[in-house]
Amino acid sequence: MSKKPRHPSSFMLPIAGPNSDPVWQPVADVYRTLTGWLVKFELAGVDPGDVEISVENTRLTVTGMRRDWTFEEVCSHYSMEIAYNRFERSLELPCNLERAHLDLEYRNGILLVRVTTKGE
Amino acid sequence: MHDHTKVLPLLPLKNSVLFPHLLMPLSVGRPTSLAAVDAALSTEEKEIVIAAQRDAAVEVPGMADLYSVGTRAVIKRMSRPSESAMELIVLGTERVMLLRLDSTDPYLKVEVQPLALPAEESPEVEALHHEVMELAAKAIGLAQPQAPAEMSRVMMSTEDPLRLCYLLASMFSLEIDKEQALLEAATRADALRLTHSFLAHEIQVLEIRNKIASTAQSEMGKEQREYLLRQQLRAIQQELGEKNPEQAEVDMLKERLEKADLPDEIRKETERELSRLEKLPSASPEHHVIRTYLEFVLELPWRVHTDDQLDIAQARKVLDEDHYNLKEVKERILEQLGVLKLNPQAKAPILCFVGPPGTGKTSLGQSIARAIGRKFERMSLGGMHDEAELRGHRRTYIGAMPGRLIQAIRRAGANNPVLMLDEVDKLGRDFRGDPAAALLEVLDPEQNKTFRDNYLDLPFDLSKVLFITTANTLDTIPRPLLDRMEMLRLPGYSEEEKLIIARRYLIPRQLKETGLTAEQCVIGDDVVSRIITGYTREAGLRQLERGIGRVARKVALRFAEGPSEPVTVHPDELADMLGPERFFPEKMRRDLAPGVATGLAWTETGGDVLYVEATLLPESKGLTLTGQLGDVMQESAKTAQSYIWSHAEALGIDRALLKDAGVHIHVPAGAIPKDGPSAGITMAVTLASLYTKQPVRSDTAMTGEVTLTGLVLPIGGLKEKVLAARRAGIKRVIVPKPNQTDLRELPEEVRSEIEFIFVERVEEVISAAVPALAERLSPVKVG
Repeated sequence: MSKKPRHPSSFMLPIAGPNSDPVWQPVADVYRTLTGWLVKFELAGVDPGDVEISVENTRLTVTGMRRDWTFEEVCSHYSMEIAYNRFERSLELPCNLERAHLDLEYRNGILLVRVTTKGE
Repeated sequence: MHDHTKVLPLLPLKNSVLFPHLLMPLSVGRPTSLAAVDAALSTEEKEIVIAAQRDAAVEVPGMADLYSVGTRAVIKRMSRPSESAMELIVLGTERVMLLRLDSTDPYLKVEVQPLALPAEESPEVEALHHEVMELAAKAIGLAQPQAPAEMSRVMMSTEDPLRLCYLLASMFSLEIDKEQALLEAATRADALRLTHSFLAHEIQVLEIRNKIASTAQSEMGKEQREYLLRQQLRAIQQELGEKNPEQAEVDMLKERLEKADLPDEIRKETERELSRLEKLPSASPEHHVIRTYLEFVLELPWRVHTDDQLDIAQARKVLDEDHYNLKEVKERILEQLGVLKLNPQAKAPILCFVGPPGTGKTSLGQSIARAIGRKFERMSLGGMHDEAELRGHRRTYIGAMPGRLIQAIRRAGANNPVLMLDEVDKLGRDFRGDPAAALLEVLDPEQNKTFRDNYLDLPFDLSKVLFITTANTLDTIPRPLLDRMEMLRLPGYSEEEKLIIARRYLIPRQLKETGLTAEQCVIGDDVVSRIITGYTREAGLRQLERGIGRVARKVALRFAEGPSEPVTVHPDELADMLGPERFFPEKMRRDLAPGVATGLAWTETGGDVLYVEATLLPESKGLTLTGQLGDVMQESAKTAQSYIWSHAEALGIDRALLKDAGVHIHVPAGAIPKDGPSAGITMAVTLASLYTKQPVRSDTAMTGEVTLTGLVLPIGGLKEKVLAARRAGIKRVIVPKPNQTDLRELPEEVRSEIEFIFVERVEEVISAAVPALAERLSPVKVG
């Protein structure tokens, strides 16, 4: 049995956070609004039907799946940088979200999550 | 999440294992693998199964060539550096069991089933987790700076023990079978245990590596430190105006060389070596060799010589003081002094003292050096069998040394010493060379002017050295060597001489050794005489001196035990002091029967009387000889017999006796080997007496070689033989006429005591020995 060479590039690199699942993480922006929060997730090329939103206390989690769909035109990949397959992103907001109201909108490849916590 | 099976493209890995939750860069080159990756990329999920191969050499593996547990992975990045290669970054998602190959062409497709590990919580898992964390921290500490700080941070914040195991396994690249075992671990506890064992091993390896590295570093540090200190020392010495030790050494040698009185050729050579020495670093082994060589060359007495003491009267006095008698040797030395006085350039003779042990050969050498005022050095050649020991080793050899000869010259400190080469007859010889051959050059006055020692490799003039060699016997000295030396015999001493020597030299010396004064202990001539006859049988004086020493010690003991009156030793006390007498000299036999005659023999320890006995063997034939007789002696007996037979008529022998009976001749003592022709006439007389039944005169001894025609030829060792005859009480000795001149060697009292009969023919011998036959033979007697 051959011994693998000892050099740093042979290390497997841990992804994102140490405790997250083996998935990719979309980037997100968080805004304050008069009624609560607006959270933007960059999820280009994702079918909104493949996205799921969940809340738990103060945590807002987006999970889902990005599937490739250009196969009719190509015969093979030449290079690949876009992350496919499952994704997951959690954000902590400084308020309890259990009873908040969530609105979803998907526009131009961005998933908008409006969190309304006031006026109830 | 996925409980059902799934069919996915398979990417076999040759020498690594992908763990879930970890990213891994991969290079893909195998056509089937490229096809598999392409297939995976053309799906929406970009999923692929990664499994390790059991044998990296297999290009297209089947199920049997793959480990049955692999990892499902998502391809995160892909690029093609060339047409036939791909670079990937894959992310392991979960552990899968490979169930079966779905297809193999154009790429491997495999049906897999997820193989999730049960998330167990037990005190054991917790304990193991802690233990592994501790070891991991230690291992990362040891591996620093190899392991990035990032690693330890990530590692410490990993809460899931399984993920920690995978992370650690990838961090310390393990052998593939260990990684695979970890991947296949059935429970978290198992995975932790495996991780624990490989971490422990890793720590050991790292510790040893660190130790090696630190030792190497400290060694380097030591050398560097020494170098720096030396540099500093040099600088300090320079400041103080001192030279460094090596330079000082070279300067000292240079100074000595300038002062030394050397022949031009030697000086040139020495200067050349010195300049070589200057160029060499002192650490070089050659440096030491050259320095030793130069020191040796400078110590040699190239032109140093001692002035000879040329006062002949003074020299004679010194020689007489040290040694009694030995006239021949002393005369030869004085002659040489005379020559040197007239011609200071005369070549020194090469003398060889031959004689039995204990006759004073070595001490005579010392005495000669003292008499002519030269340095004395002696070296023993006994047992020397290596030519190089005599002539030195060439300097190219490690541990090369100058030869013993040149060393002796150096010790003497003059180029004209008396150099005594002891035991030249006991030189060895074997495959390493023949030292006797090397001596040839040394002892040849024509050649030894430019003697070259192998070590020295410079010509040294030995021609002024007075060489004296000593030997007990000449038989073992090679002819060419013998030819170069002037023989001087030290034949052994008579009883009278021994008495005088004992009185003058041995007794005073032994008394001094024991701390007695001449008044306290008197050892008279009668005592010495008894020691000589009863306790010693030798030509020299060693046993006698030991005997005297023993007597002196017994007396010393008496004084040491308490106040004692001066002691005069009485001969009768000797039995108490030395034990019973050991030797009984062959006494003259009275009234010899017919067929017995008295012969004389020479032995290494002096002379001896021997009786030749013969008897008739009726009804037998031929001649029987017994008594350990050598070939020469046996032939001599046959010659004697033939002579007697051919002259039977003249002697009045009954021819019937010759026909009907054989003869047996025996020479006692039967155990001692004897050889030589000198008993020829004795055997002739024995046979004449036997056949004629006339007894031989018992007071007459004889020695001489016989020929078939009845001539008597001369023999050697006459002095010892005559002394032995006298000891035995013989009054008349029959001697070959040519030996007449040897009688001068005998002390006066012996010559006057014994009647010598000089003979030329056997008839004369028989007439002189067997009175009854004298008449019958007279008509035959010629001239």
